Amino acid sequence: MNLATTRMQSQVEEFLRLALARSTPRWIVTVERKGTALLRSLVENSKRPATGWTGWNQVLSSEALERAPVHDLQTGVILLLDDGICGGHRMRKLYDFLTDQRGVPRERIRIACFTTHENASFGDVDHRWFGQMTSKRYREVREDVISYFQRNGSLLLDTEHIEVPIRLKCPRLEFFDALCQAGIGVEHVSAAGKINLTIHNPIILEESKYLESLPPGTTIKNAIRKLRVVQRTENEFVIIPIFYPSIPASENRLDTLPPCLSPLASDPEMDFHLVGIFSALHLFKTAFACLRELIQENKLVVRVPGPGDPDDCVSHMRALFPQIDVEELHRLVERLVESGRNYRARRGELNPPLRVEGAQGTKGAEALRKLQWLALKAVAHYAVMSPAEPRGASMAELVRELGSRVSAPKCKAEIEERLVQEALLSAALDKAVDEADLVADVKAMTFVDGVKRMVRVFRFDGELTTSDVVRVASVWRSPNAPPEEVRTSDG
Amino acid sequence: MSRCHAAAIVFGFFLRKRYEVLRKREGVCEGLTKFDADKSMRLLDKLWEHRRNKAPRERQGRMVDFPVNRDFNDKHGHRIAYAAASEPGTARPVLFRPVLQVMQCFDEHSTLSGRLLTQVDQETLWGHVSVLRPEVSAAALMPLLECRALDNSDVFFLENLGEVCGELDDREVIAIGRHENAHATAESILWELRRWTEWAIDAFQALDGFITGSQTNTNFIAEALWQCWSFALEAKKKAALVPDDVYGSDRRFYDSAEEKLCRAVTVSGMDAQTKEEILHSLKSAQRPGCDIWGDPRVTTLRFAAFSCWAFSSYMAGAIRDMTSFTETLLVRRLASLSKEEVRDAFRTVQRCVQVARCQRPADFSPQWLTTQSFVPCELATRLVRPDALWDGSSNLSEFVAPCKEAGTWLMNEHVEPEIQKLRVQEA
Repeated sequence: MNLATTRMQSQVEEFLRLALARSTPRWIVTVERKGTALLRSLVENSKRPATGWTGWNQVLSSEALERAPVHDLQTGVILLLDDGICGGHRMRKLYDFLTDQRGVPRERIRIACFTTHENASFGDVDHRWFGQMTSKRYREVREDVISYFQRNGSLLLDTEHIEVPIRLKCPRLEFFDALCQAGIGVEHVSAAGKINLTIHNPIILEESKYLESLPPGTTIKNAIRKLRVVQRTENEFVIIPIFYPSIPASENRLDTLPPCLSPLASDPEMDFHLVGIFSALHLFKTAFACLRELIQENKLVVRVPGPGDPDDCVSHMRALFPQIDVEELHRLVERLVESGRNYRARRGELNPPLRVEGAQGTKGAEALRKLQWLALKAVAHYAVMSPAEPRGASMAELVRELGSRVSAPKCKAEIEERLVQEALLSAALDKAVDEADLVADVKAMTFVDGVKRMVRVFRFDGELTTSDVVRVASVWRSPNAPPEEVRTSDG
Repeated sequence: MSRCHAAAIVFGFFLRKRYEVLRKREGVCEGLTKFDADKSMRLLDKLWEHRRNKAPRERQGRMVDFPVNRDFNDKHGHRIAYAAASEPGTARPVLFRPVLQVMQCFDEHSTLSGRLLTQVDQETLWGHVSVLRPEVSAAALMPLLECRALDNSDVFFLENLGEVCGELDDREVIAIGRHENAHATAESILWELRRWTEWAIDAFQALDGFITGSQTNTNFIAEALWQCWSFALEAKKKAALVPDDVYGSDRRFYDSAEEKLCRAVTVSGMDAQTKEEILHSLKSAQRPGCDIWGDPRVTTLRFAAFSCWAFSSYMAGAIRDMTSFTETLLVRRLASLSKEEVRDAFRTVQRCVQVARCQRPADFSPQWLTTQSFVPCELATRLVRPDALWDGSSNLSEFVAPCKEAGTWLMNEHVEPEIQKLRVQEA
């Protein structure tokens, strides 16, 4: 770990300890996504317990605030936590919601923010580490914080994902190759030097049984579906399955979901997340079926830490789903991991491993960089199309940007090339999320069959940096793209 | 990180790229054989040194060549070796140690994530075989990029070269890895012949001991005979006799490797600059096959290599089928050598011992021997037919005495003068 990151780590930790100790909150409302990442960095990486921290049952994500039961937030101090306030619109929105709609008095609200910009309209901050920062300095600190998150294991990943830690007792490529039997994997290195693997569209074991469990009208076509593998320490990785089928944007029946998820059904957005958790958990089966032999040969150590364990991998779900039964959820994860480990794949059910290198200097790195900008450009394009509501771009829209669906492939090699391109795009999106350029969101979109469905989309993150990225992304063009300006004969 | 370790990581990455292409093409590939890995690395060393813009790259502090000796002589041709190493576990200094051995040493002392190679053991028809699976991905090159020992173009070159080398099979990569010019090939053949001489002398002594009863260990004799045979085989393969036999010749694999590499580079999707750079390195580092095997320094060694090979097949093949040796490793190791081939070898040796150094042609081929009409000399007539040994009409001492004489004659007449000639040239 370099000096800048170590310094940032101690500063972030000190800031959080002070904020928690001084406010002793009953509730912590984290501003998605960096606010939550900030808290996770303390909870998951610090060796010392923090005064005022009682567990994830006191945390609410800003995304879940409106869904939180009315009786919650009625007692004790509420700490609003974010990494930085630039304009202050999001913090203002949260503050207004609490005071106006939930009737929480100001004296019960504490606001903690690691950095504040000199032009921030929301200046009523109780705890800050850096204040009155110029745009240049604000940007620098933001970059350092992001780098710190990356070093600690891509903490900017969405909070609603469940991860299972794996300790390697074999070389990394043996582990990666085993996982790549599920689909094409792209190995890339984060700016902080951590190794990541993104497996695009992993196969779904017992697919028909899984599809039957989904609400009617749901489609998995063009859905975000991947296995993310993120390095935590030298020989420790976490597997994070991500899978968001598009469910109808109407009332859905979720009674086929496991009992820890189905009672939480409410609005389409919530249903979308619940189906997403269920689907992602199903991918654990695929991941562990691929790792079966390595586990049997004692080359991997797998455990599913639950509530009470220091590296608890499920309780953080409470931030977004306050009513979720984490004990039951933990048992479900254990069951699926176990069933994957015991799954005997039929001949040909798993693929020969295909891993694409995306580290610096490789062909894949160049492709990743281009695709990352193509994705940002596409997101910028859709933001400009409806500036009032930057709805972001869906996976289908991003794949369309690749232009790979225009003509039919001519041979098997071309098919593979296109699949590799899609896998690289998926990894490029992961990089953009890790670098805090993009965040994932949910929007309703009308499909070609006329059905309106909830879809995972990507939009720009932050306030200050967004404007920079949008500006560059809007004018950036791939060197291979045809000229945009066409000079006609009449001039 | 030491320069040796940095180079080992680069070699590991290159091997991984080759391995991945092989695995994809062949469906199942557990790893690369030691010879394959060794010669692939030697090929990389040669091509890396001949890349363009060496001086500016050197000024930037980049790794323009690897800290290896490329001409470390060994059984399967020149190997790359690190200098000034010491034997593991001892303080005994050695001048050079093959890179592959040092890489395995690094692995013993590194963490799992820093591992370069994994040894995978396999049971095959021939017995227990170990292959090496390279474990280095591009992520492992990051420290070298950070300290500017490499830059993006170096990684790009390595990745592309590794992938095109994946188009070669193991015999091709071994051939192009161990040959590059006539001088090195001639030197390498002579090295094999020198080892053949040493093992042949050991085998004669052991056989004498067995006859007199002072040597009872048949496995020791079997080992000497097998070493003798296999060094002769390597010399014959390197000398590239025309036409070649089932064991193949390096010339054939060298030519097909060169052609495949050029074709793979041309049809690959890499950019024109990288294509041009790889082709330039290939042309600068590797002489065409006709230049290597058409050179008099190599052609003059053909007879020596061929006669030693025939002699070894005759001696080892005949002894293999004796009852005293049926329990030895010789039976399995020489399983490919048929009785008919042993009989042929006997007839060839009978002819070879009649060819004096001044009589052999400048461009020798096995057909030349068959076209000559020899009046059998005394030594040729005394050589014992293999069948006579097998059916018991001749005993081992009757077989060994003329055999030893013929072997010594070949050494003195055809092998030693060539070795002396090279020594003089080198001096």
